[in-house]
Amino acid sequence: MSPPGRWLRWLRRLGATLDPRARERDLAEELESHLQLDVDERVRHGADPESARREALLALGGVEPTKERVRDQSRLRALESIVQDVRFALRTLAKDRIFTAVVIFTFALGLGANTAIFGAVNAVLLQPLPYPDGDQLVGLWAIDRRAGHDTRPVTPADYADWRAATRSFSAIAASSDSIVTLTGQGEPESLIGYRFAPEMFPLFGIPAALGRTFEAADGAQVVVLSDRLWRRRFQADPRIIGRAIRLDQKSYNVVGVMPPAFRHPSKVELWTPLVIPPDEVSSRSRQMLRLVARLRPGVTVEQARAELRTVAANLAEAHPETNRQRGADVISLRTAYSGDARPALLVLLGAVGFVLLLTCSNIAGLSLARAARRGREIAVRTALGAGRRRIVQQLLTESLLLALVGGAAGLVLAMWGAELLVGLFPKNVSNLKIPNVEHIPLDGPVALFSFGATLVAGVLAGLIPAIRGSRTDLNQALKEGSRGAARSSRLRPVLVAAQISLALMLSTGAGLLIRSSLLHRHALGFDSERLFTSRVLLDKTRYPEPAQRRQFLDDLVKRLRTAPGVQSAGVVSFLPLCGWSSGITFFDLAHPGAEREAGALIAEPGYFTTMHIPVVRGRPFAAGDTASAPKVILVDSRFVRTFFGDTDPIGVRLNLGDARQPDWQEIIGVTGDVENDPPPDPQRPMIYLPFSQNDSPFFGVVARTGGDVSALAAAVRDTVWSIDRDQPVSYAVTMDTLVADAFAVDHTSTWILSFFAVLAVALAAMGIYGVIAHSVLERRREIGIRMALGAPRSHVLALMLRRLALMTGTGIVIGLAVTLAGARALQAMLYGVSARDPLLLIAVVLLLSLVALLAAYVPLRRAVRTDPMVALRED
Amino acid sequence: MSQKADVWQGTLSLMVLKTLELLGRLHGYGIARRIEQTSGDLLELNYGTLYPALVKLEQEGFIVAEWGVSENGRRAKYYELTRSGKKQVERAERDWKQTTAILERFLVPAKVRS
Repeated sequence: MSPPGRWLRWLRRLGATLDPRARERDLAEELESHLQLDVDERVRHGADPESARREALLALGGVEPTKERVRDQSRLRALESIVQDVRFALRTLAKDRIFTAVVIFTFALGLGANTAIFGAVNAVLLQPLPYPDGDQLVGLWAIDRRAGHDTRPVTPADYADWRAATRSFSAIAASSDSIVTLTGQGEPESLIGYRFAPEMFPLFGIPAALGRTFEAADGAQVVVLSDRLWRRRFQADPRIIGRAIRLDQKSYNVVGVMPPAFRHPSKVELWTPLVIPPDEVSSRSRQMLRLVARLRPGVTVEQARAELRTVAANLAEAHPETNRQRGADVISLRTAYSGDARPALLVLLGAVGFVLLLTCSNIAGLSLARAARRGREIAVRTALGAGRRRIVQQLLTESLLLALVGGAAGLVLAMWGAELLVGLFPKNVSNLKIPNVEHIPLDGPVALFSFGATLVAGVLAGLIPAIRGSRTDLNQALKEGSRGAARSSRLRPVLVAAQISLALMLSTGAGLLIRSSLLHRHALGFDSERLFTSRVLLDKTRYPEPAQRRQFLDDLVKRLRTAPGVQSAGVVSFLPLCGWSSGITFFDLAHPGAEREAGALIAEPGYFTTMHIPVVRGRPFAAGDTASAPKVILVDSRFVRTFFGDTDPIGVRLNLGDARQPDWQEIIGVTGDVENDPPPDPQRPMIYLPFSQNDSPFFGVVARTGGDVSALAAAVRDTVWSIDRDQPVSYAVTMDTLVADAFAVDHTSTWILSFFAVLAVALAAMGIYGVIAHSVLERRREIGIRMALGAPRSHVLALMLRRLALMTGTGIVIGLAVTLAGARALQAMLYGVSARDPLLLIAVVLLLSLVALLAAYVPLRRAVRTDPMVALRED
Repeated sequence: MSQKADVWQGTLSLMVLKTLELLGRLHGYGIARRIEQTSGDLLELNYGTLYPALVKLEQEGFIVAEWGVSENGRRAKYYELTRSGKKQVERAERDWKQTTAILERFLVPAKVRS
């Protein structure tokens, strides 16, 4: 055969594939001609034409089966039959509009939710760190054993010893945090800056986008800018390199700008060189260094941690006076960036997986019902020679087609949902373990996941109905007449029971989160309404003396109280829930040897009145508590519960210094408890010290108004600037915003999980309705007969109720078992609520039972009202 | 009746190829009849099974089909060996002979022993 001929043949075959009708025609003609030839032959041998044709057909084995066999042989058959199946599916689905719409909608919800959540998980937990071999990067931390597992910065002397004694790391570099004031560029601004040792940038392996990073020869007055700051404050001016900017009233030379990908730590705006003061180089008490290290290739985080712990244990032995309670920890940078978002994201990912399973089983139930209705059609197709595999393929094609359309609609829902998920990542809380996420991209990997989930969902939802549908008993189905085969009823209750158990798990999860966040909301300990907050961080270079700082504070408080719109105002060193905090160690007379720890805040009297924090015992700070007066403190009720139990703390003196330099201060009052530390940190017992006797450069300003709270932004800023035009005012937000941000992870995940739970219950209700309605319809005749024979309506009702109870009960029991077994996964996100809260479980069970009854109400009523005459006459 | 054998696909293909080699251009019905006659009616050929075999041979490029007119004036689809089809006949024949020769050795001594 010549090449052109071969080409021609190939083209013809492709044409035949693409134009199945032409090939069908060809085949039909060929078989017809075969029959003609055979009939001619038989007639020539003396048969009469009519019986000749019959015999010829018999000899051929039938026209249709032969055609089917030939089609089976055709090589591109797979493709062709898919095209055919899709066409057929589109036709049948178009006929069954309600079914199609419900299924597509359900798929869209299930798949959209999954895509959105996966988008967030992908953006936060799965994206590799933007640094070369980023998984080798770890943070090295000291651990204070007294405070559980709290990580602390490392002292310079410990750092030197760690460097010398460890082998797990190919490089270690130190940094420390600071806050600097940028002036001379429009509005003054307080910026979080980090001091980096010169070897820190090379450790990350990312060069500057513009200019360079630090060199050993650089003095202290150079700065590297973040991409964000460079764009925001310097209009992305490429000539910035070599220019001087003013930080804390000193001139710094800009040597470089980092690329946008470099974000360490995530909220930092600029970097200056780290210089450890000579008198602190050998300190073992100044916990100031934040260390980043690169693991040697092949060394795991666990191995490095074990090594560092041994080193720390040796140091604790060698220097018991400082290091006795000091451990060490190695935490991967990835965990450090996203650690606090992780449990919430994983819980949501698990929940959304359940939602998808529920969606699939719901659709499977619908399809089973539909397959039962289509029993006749399938039977006819089987009778006409369609093989079982072909039927399964056909039904699966339908399911996949629905899933694909639903998945596409789900992508649109996911885009919208991803915007909501950004709420998981608050901006105003300085909790460094939550990544900065401003946008959740639905990019390649997410689209791929979505497509994969769509296919899996399509097959999951379609496989059982397809196999079930293809098993139609020909004789039975065709004989039964127009009613079709209705034998799906054993599998559907199983699916619905599964749905009920999934719904139970999701509702329990949502219920727990709701209870937990309600508890939290009620227990803030202050009144967040109509309250405006901002932070004023005094530049230590311009206010070097405590007296200057106190003067500034006094002016600020005095002027704020008369500012327009302000009812009352107060100042505290760190605002509640802002993520910044400080602690203090103390001794009391009863336990002179035991150093104890508590949170410490410096406040002036107006803070408590403005915040509506009650003083429940004793007296508040007063004007008489001057610097020269006896030193006084307030403690909160949590402090009393923790350290005093039932004894009266008023008048008790605590040593806030140490044994050598005691600093005795008297407890004069007890305040209510305030949520100071944002979740997931536990609340600490708190000591309040008066500003009049203590010093802080950090002012958290609160102002309460009777009017529009947002108008206070200008009032507070203008008041500060009336004292000092170069003093920045940072984080100016309402207290409600601060609270919302602090609980953003919990609230957003609670909200989303509640949505999933509602969805789950609705889907389960749909499933219950479907099964009961179907079984009422299916047993209409039987019910009719029973009633005609005199069975009371209650019997009929009991018959149906038994079915409902069995199905719902099974679902609830399985759901409870799984919930109790899996409750621990959720405990990390709960405060003050047990994951196995019995009251909540009872409530959820009752709710689901009620939903089951409601869902079954209409069909049950129909069953009870069955008119025996009508039911028996039917069909 | 019980003496009649079923034909499996590979054997049927060889029969078709051999028939076409011997008789040249032929339509489906002709091929079927010819196979039946050659086997001395020992083979019960369901004519329908022939057509998938023809499609397969055509796909493999061993035969080509073309519409034509039969001796008694009927339109019919005619099949013909291609060049690679002719080679295939030789190859398949060789293979078949080898197979039967091997089988022979198993079957003959068994008879002797009994």
